[in-house]
Amino acid sequence: MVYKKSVSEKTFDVVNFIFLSILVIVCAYPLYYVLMCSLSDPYQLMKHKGILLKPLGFTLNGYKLVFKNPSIRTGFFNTLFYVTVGTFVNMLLTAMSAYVISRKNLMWHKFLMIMITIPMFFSGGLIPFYLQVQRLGLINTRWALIFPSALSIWNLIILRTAFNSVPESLIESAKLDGANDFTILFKIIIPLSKATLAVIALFYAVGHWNSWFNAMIFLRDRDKFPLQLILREILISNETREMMNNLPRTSAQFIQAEAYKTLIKYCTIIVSTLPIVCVYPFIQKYFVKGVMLGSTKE
Amino acid sequence: MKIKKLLTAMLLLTISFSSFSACSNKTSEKTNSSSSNEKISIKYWVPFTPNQYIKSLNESEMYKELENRTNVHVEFIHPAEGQEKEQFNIMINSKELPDVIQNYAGEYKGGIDKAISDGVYLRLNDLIEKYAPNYKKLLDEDPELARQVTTDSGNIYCFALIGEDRNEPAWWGPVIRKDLLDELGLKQPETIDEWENVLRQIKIKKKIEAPLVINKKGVDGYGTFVSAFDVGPYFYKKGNTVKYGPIEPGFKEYLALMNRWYKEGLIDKDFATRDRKSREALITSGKAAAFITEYGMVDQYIPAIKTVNPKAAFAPVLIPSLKKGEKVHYRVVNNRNGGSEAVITSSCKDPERVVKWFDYAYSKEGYMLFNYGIEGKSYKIENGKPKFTDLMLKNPDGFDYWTVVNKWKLDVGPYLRDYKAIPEFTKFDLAAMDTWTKADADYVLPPTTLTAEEEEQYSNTMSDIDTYKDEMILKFIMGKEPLSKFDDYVKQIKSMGIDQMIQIQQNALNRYYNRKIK
Amino acid sequence: MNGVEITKAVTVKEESFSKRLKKDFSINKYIYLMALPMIIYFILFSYIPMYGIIIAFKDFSPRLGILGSKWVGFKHFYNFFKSIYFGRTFKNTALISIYSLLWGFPAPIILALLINEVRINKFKKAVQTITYLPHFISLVVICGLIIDFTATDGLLNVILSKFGVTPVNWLTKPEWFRTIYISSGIWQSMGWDSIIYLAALTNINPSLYEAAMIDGASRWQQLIHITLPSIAPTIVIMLILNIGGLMSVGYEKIILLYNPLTYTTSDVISSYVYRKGILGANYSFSTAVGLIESAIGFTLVYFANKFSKKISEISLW
Repeated sequence: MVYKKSVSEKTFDVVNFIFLSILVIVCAYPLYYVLMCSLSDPYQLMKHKGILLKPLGFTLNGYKLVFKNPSIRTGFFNTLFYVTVGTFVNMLLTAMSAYVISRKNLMWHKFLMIMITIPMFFSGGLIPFYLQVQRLGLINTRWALIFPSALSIWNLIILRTAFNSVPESLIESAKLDGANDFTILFKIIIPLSKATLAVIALFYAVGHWNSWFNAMIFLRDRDKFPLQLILREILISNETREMMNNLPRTSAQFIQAEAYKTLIKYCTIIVSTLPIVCVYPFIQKYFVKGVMLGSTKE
Repeated sequence: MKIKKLLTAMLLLTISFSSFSACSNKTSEKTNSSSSNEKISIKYWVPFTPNQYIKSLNESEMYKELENRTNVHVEFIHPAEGQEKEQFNIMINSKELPDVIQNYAGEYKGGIDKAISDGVYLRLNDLIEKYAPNYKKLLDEDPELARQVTTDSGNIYCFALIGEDRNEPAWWGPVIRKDLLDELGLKQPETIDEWENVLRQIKIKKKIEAPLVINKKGVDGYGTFVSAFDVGPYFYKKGNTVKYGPIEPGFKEYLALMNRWYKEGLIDKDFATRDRKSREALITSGKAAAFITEYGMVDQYIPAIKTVNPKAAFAPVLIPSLKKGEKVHYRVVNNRNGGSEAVITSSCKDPERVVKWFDYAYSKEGYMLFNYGIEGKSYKIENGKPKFTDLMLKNPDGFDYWTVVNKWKLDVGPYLRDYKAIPEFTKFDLAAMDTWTKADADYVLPPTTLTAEEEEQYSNTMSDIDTYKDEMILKFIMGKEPLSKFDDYVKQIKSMGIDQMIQIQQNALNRYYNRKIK
Repeated sequence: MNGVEITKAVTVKEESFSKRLKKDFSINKYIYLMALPMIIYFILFSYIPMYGIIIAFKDFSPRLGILGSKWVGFKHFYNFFKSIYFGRTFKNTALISIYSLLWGFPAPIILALLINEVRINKFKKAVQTITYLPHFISLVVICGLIIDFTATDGLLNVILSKFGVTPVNWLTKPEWFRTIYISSGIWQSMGWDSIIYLAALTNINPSLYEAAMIDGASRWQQLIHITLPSIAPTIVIMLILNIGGLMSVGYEKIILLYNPLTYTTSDVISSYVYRKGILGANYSFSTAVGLIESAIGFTLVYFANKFSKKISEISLW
């Protein structure tokens, strides 16, 4: 870099570094806390309150209990399917739609935009939605987790904004060269919007990873359940038991159910969070500056 | 937009959906065809908690044995856990009704009677009369039970879990640190004054930060401490008259007491923001001396608190009264209808057989099967009494009793239950039952039902009243409002329509007492 | 480039409608082909089920279904407005959402810009990855931490007591509820929300910076004259979308943090409806309340968009 840093800029760099470091500590803490809890002795955990810097005692029993559940494995592979296939469908549909609404000279542009905006605010609620999915024959099929959530309006609009920042001149010149809209989208616009596409893909993937509600209402067979639904069951299983049963209970019943309940909760959070958290660094690869460089001939 | 989420949740709580007309036609063509004993198969919807040992009731050895004895094959359908209400509503909605629905049947919007008149559930009066002698006998002998399985319009609608012991003990009440009492040479407190003294001494001499832990709302839901002032924590009955506790004069005295204790530091300062985990942390770290709980929780605090104070011990104490030897009138009660209500739907092709099948659970043989399982396998008779085998108590696969229980017997379900049919109660458990059950429970309202119209009015009004009441109770206790304002508070609640709400509850209670039972 | 479109639109206007329609279709046939899946999606999964809204005006009865239930007009709306807590919950919702927008909206932008200024690549990536972690932790855990942190013997009071402040339980103080709610919200979502701006930042042409550096512009000047204008479209669009969320504060976090003592500032529309729902679930009522929220959101977006179009030429439609 030819450019020399002034004193004030150097101070800024230092202050910025310190500020962000503090932020990193503050933001890393919740997950760290959960991780430490998940490794702690449940009885010691029970009496603990406040900051936790290392596990209280050490046990892997919580994880053992979580992984003992045979559905975890099938759930994991199902989730993998939903995340990959789902995100692929999402991306295809979102990219095409975003291209459509980024073309402002379209006669139906405004109509399409309003058509998109209304469902952002108004929906008919769950029953009509369920009946519609049923009518389409998707109940208890894996597609019920793919198609009804194939497009997020929010992501669509974000992607449209990115597409709009591609210089119009590029598109015009491609058109003059005889390129059709598909070529323009896939050969020019998409390569130039990699960063935003990567972000949108992350949003979708995280959405699929975390979702359990649709699975719960649309799926019947346990072997199609995604991981999150299984983990949710583990999380709440003891609570339902409490709620349903207003009968005398024994201590023994509680010792089994209760002591490990908190521990299992934390282990479950770790199991369900870590894999998806690890995706982000791969996304960062696309956060490279200057993708526009060289393609712009202005 | 965010309310959509809430809406979804609520919707799922409430909906039950249209198009029952199709089903109701079916009821008429119900055939009593197979009075023979040929094999039938039924679909049975019931929430279930799977574990490593038993993934669904379809794997239950007990139900297999039952099938051998009754020739009824059951295909269990278990909804995804934690979302049972949603699944229930969607199931009703999708017109694919199973033969039997257990639990959540009462979630039917508009109530059980409506479900019966809509032709979704079957009215069981005649079927039970004819085909369920054992169940009928129980109902005949126990009018309270009969009322609790009958709707206001006289429909018997379910087979329920019934406690064999008509007076099952209380499982909720106050607990105190016995070691601290002993060290201070104090007796277990019985009256409010004794409590005050004990808490004060513990606070001063033992430097305990928060001698008494109370819940977030400032009032125990089962009335501990409030009941000393001859009122209930919410709606309650005195004789046959319904009253609303929070506006009664006794309640003012309760608030004055709590306010005094709060000021003196006898109550946990942060009670209003504590969740259960936080309360447990307070207890198990030795910073609290007394709390209100279910007995089952206490023994598991021991390992945690022993690491702080090896001498720590807990003892259940009497639900306090104002005068020595006086009985309070409010505590937790187990209804005669113990839940696990199973209804038969209009999709059931052979209700007669299903009713007979259910009735078996209330027979002598059924009683043994459901409570103890299969003789020689899960229990044997020793000294004339059933005892669980090592299969249950020391399972060879290393699982504990509560993991294996549902494979060999049924923990909870529609049968005649012996609550002692478990490995054993701890000393603490037995002491707690004994101590807490000494309180009377005649102020407790029985399980009544509101009509659809009442329900709407009630929820509209009570949500406002509760908001105001909860807010004011905390303010009174924490001294943010002086108790001289109590009369204004009562006036305000009255102006919000509490009298009408009391009337609604009164009518529901009257209907309950007037339920047609033979 | 907007200029080009406008002139085009003007010339097209002179032809007859059907002619224009034909022409538009023949020029843009591939675009309309691409639009087809989206249109089908919206019709199938948004517009057909939308009839469910009408139950806000009905007394929903399971036997009669959505279409067959009895019409009751504005009864549920009336019930909502006449509640003595309508004013309070409305005000609290408005204040919480406005302050959330005011503080919460700029936070991820500033974070993205700060991260962008970091020259050490590894540190940069680490900051990005770690700041987005709290997004994945469930609300229950996060709120549990907040409750511990603000309790009388919590970390906050431990620190404050060093400065002579007497310990109090911050969550019992109505005047502090919004601060706690909003700042913890920023903490939880700032990193995640900054991702979108980080992506937008990568789209800036580096030659712009090179030219600026040759002109001797300081980093501050570069920020003002290059960086911000370049990501302005993203910022404006996000702002418009966020404005649509005003008046809708979710109930989950509120009910985890509030207690009756702070109702005066913490009880919002959704938490009120939630409590009402527990007592006697009334689907029609909550649909009506949801509809009010949606209508407000839609109106706000409409005007925000109009306003933005006027000053910045950036708009949703």
